[in-house]
Amino acid sequence: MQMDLLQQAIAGLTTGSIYALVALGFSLIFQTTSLLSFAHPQFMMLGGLFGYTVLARWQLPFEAALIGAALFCGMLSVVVEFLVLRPMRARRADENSLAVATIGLGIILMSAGMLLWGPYSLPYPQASAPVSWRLGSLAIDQKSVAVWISAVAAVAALQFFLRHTCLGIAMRAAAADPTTASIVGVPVRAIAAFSFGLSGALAGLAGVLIASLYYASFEMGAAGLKSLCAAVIGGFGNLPGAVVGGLLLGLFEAYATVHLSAQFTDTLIYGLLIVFLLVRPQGLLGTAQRKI
Amino acid sequence: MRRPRFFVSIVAAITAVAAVLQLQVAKAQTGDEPIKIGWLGALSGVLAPYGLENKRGVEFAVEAINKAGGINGRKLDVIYVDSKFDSGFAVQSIQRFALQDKVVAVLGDISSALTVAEVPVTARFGIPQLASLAGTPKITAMGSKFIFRPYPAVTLTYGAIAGYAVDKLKLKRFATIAYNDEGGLASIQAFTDTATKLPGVQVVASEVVPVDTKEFKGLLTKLRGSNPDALVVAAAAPVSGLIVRQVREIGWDVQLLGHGGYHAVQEFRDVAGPAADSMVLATTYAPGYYKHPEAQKFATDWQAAHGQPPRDLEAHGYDQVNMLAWAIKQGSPDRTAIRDKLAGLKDWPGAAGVYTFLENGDVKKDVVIQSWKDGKLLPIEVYGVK
Repeated sequence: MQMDLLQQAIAGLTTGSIYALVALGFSLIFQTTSLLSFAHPQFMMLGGLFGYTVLARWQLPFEAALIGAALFCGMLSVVVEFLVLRPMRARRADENSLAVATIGLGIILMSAGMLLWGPYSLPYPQASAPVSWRLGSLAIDQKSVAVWISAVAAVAALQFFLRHTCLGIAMRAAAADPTTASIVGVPVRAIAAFSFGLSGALAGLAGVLIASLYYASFEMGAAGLKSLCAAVIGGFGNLPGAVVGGLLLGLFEAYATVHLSAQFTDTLIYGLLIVFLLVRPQGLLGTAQRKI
Repeated sequence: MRRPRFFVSIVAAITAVAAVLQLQVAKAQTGDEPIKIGWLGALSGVLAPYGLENKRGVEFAVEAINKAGGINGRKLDVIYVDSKFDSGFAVQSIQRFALQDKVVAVLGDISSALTVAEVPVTARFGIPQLASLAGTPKITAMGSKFIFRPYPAVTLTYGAIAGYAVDKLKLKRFATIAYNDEGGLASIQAFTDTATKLPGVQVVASEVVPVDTKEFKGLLTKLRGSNPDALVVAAAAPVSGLIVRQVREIGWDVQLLGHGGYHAVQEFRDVAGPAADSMVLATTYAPGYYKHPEAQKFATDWQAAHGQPPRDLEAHGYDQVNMLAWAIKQGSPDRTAIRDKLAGLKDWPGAAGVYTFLENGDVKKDVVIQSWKDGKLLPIEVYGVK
């Protein structure tokens, strides 16, 4: 029984790390550009599909898929920022219009994914049978561990970058007060493009990791909604909060599935979200009065 | 002065159209005109692979019948329409089949949802409809006297796998995991109904999962805790591939049971990988495994014509046309006469088994038990459905 609970925790941590990786992107974009980008999960999806091309078509190693997908999604993200969001900002569109535009963008990206890769589920080539570490009846598969480590490593690296590097501090300054930042010489528009590129690269990485666990497909961006929940529960815009929210939501989902009802888990998750928004709208690690 | 001339030309045009129509009507009334059949299915979109597969089988049968001189001297003419996953369009197409094309029967649809929309319409026009793939139990539960489903519903295969697992594999304790959709729930219901009627058999645990779940290890651990002899999986690929893979990833060595429509497809095997090996499936077709001459002849002819063995929906498409031809030959190419003959179809030997229609229009026919081995499907035996 104890072993079963541990096995369920492992499943929860894996789902949670996935939520965390995507939630991190949502929060990064929000922290650096004050935008809630609904298109973000679709960059993750394109990353997963691009990784499939690298691994299955070009037969390159897994590292190449990670780097390739990060570059591909990062650049695509910059292009999208340049073609859609920047002209909208120049026409004084407010955050709400931009957020709505990203819903449309997400749908376009999803259709593009379906057109380019087809409506199929594309599992990554498996060199061998899945490798698991065994501990009595407990099994821990290596790919899941890789995803856990990636989620924690990604938040640590991003946190370091935003707090301790010149560029990172400039990004935060540009987000907090674009006018003042530009007066002191921060190239605000270039920074916004860079933030978008960075979140795109992160989405690309996440896509490859997630697809390596399951499979790549044009509809894998659907996981994005729960990641957004995770980001809100952790504290929207707060990077460690995104990871904490993701892991907690993953564990909650795993235990709710097993001990409450698998059929109504989603109802419980979104119920939890509403409870959080009512009781603690700033999220677990968020500060109470954030300017939006 | 222009108006009268314009008016005259309109009248002339209408008269011309009317004359052409009259001619066509006159032509249709002569005896050696082709017998028209409407085909509805997916030729584009996600379901297109299934639609095209079924269409190939239909075309193959029509070609053979027409080559042999048709039915009582009249050739078959099938009008193929892509239903485009749009129930409004599908319903309109049936209206056009009924009123304009004057078809004697409709073949289709592929999608369950579209077929559910179509059944009341074919019933209203009194056109016999032979569904091609649509698996939901609803289709034959709507009370239409004109719907027939030669392709076995999931309930038939899941009932069969229950019988086989108890009879032949001597299993007693089952756990089930199903998709929270119509097919998944109906499958498990059928399995449970059949299995629990047998002496000493128990379904010890059942789980239903939302369709977008991808991580099952926790839930599978719980199912393992109930210590079943076999796990019944009722979910479509690719997700069922993940379930099966994760069963092995948590090191659970349990007999897996499933059904051809979900698990005999390459997409399932691609995702499940070697974990699919030894999973036992009740399938609706395997070339060469039905021993009666009609099935053997079809498999040989198809192999000769296409250079590869026939697939499930190709065989069923071929049978759809041939049972229709049989019904016409027995009586006349009249909608009601065809319906009456089809309703009495019993022990009819086709390419994909021996068919008998039940009162609601569902089929009763034997399944082929198959198993995955080293990436290939291995037929085991034909198993009789009680």
